Amino acid sequence: MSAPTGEAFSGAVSGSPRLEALGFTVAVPPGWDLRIYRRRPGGGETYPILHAATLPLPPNRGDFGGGVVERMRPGDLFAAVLDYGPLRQPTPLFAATRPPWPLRPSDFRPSVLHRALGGQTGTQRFFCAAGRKLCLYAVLAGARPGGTTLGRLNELLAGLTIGPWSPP
Amino acid sequence: MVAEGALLLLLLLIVTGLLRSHAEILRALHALGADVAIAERHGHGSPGSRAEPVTAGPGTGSASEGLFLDAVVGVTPSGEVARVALDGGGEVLLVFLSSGCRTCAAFWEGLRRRRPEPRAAPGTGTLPSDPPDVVVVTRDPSEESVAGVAALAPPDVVVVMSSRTWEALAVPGSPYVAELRGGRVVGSGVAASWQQVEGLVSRARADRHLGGGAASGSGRPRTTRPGDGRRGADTGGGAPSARPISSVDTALLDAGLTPGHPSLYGVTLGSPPSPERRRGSEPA
Repeated sequence: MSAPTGEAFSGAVSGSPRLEALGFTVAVPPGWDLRIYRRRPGGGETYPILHAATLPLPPNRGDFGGGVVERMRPGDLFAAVLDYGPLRQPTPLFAATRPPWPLRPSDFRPSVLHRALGGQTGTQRFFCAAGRKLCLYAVLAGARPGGTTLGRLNELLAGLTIGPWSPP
Repeated sequence: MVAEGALLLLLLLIVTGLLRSHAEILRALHALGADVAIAERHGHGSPGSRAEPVTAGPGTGSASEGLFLDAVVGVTPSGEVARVALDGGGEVLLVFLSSGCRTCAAFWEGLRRRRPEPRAAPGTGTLPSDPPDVVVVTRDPSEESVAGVAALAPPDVVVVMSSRTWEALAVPGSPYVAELRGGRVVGSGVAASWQQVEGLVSRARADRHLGGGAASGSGRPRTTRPGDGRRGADTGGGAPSARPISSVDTALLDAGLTPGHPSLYGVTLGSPPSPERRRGSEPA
């Protein structure tokens, strides 16, 4: 795990609480930390990633929340939207053509977690939007995803607009 | 020939007088507590980048108090677009630094050596609140050296390049520290080192835990002006000011042993003395 090092952001960061970068536009609700980044291409192409959390996001994070989820306490939320590249032809994994939110409590299961930690549940949904193959991964800390907690996550996701993006 | 010599002598006298006058001004500024540092860059400065002059001494820290800031929005040295929430209810220390100012170097180094406290687990007997999150804020990439900041940035500290945050809090220069609680600026000022800031914050937290400190009693935020050693944080009890907290104190606080903890008084004493007794006041 290392700090995401990617292309320097070239656009203006304008209009808090709305953030826009790499094809993601987010109207950020209060209390959310947010990062949009793209790892520096090494051997292959890399694609944008969005991280959001109700706890402070540390500089060193794994793409699926390593370094964050270990610090979560009951009621904390972490969400990642990961771009898997342009959709050139339909695939079963990315068959869904609409974003999977709003999420329901039944969408969350401990078995989905990339790192199984006690008291946490997660969801992972693949979809495509704006010609991009995408994955939503979200983690909730707490016994079960309650209305208020899930409501905060759905509020964040409702403010997320995905536009087209292609590597420079 | 004689006229030329006289002219040379006159010029020498003028230059000497100017140098003496300059030295007297510097001495006077030093006596007032102001540190005049020649801003210099550590190299790799981008065109248009600038180093912040050091400002110190009293009177620089109150302009932003009471202001509300919901987030720090900018970019990180590694190229992320970042929004760091300040309105989550917790405590945040915004540390305004630049890559070039001389005093900032001690802050960068202090932050690099800092041992972050873990977030307090619910229900533990340690300090009641989380340690403040530390966020370093530099100016935008158009005004600051991204490579310089990236080289200085401690690996476990969030660094955001955001001139807008500097402007929002009317930051007079670097280094400068603002303490926010729930997004509200409750204290701000300058300091000589990161260790000095840590000491003041640790003591303020201990005071709040005891419920006897000025800040906790009234809910009124305090202003720390650690740049002036004679005017450190008000501990509410006449304690020596601006003395950086010792490593022993820090270790005790980390272990949950705050001032007045029962274990410090032995089992035969019964209940620990009240905060009033500890501060030396007479019982009612």
